[in-house]
Amino acid sequence: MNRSAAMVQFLQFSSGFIVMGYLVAGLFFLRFWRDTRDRLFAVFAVAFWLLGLQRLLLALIDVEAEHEALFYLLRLVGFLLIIWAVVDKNRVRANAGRVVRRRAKLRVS
Amino acid sequence: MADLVYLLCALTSLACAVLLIRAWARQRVELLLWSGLGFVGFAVANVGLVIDKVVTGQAYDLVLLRTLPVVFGLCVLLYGLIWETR
Amino acid sequence: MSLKALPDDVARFLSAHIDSVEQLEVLLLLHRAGESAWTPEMVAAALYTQPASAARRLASLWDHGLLEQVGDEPPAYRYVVETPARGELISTLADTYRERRVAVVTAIATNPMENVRAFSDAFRIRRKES
Repeated sequence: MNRSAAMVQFLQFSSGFIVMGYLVAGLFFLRFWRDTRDRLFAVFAVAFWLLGLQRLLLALIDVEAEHEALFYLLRLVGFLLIIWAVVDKNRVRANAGRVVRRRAKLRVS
Repeated sequence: MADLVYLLCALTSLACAVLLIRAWARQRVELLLWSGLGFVGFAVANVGLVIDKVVTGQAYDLVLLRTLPVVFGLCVLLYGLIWETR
Repeated sequence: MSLKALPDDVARFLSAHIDSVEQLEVLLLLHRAGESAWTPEMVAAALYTQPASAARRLASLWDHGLLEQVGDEPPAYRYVVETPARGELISTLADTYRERRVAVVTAIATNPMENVRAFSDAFRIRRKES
């Protein structure tokens, strides 16, 4: 791949920007999860961080074209998580702010 | 196999974008618009990835098509997350 | 009165579990009642609301893990404490509601997490009733 030096520099800068962007977006989703206890946000946080991680690895590790697919596996997992979050949200009795229950409840004696 | 991955990523981003923008059209909650546009950016980048790897077989350097939309998408998404939530 | 007047954990609890004043009243009613089980009719009589509305609030509180179901026909609910910390929080909430009613009602009405929740709801493809 023959790219000009300027292009290479710009791409490196963009990579850094993108990794930071995914990281911060993930942090926001994490905060939303903390504040609403909605599982979707926790999953989105992890998904975005995986996408960021993939970009990071791609930028730092010099990799042959054939092996790039391995990195995109990270991206796949990230997007599968997003899909799962949406599916999970639409399961029976979808309710905003669900709290994990169905475990043994303490009884006030 | 890798082609399927790229396609899946594109479709997922697109689905998210559609869901968010559709909800924004109904409720006019601005956060939905910005995050929806963010996912549009991701979708475009992923489509670019599909075109690059699957369609053209990397005949052209489409790296900008795969990169700039993500930058745009993140800018827009982060703007929404910061400005439209307390 | 600013929303900062509410303690953080109370505000967060309201944001996560309470979407109306009526729901809060139902929760606090059952909290006061301790071990006894309540049906929607009983709740409606106590709070001067409609049984159907009370039933919805009870079901929602149950869904959030704040009540347990003790009967099926008719559905009856009882206040339950998942953790001691949660029990304390609800007691604090009851006190806060008594002393700073306006702040609590305002917090419920102007939920700062509303935009965020709208984001999450956007991914709900099937329409939920009510």
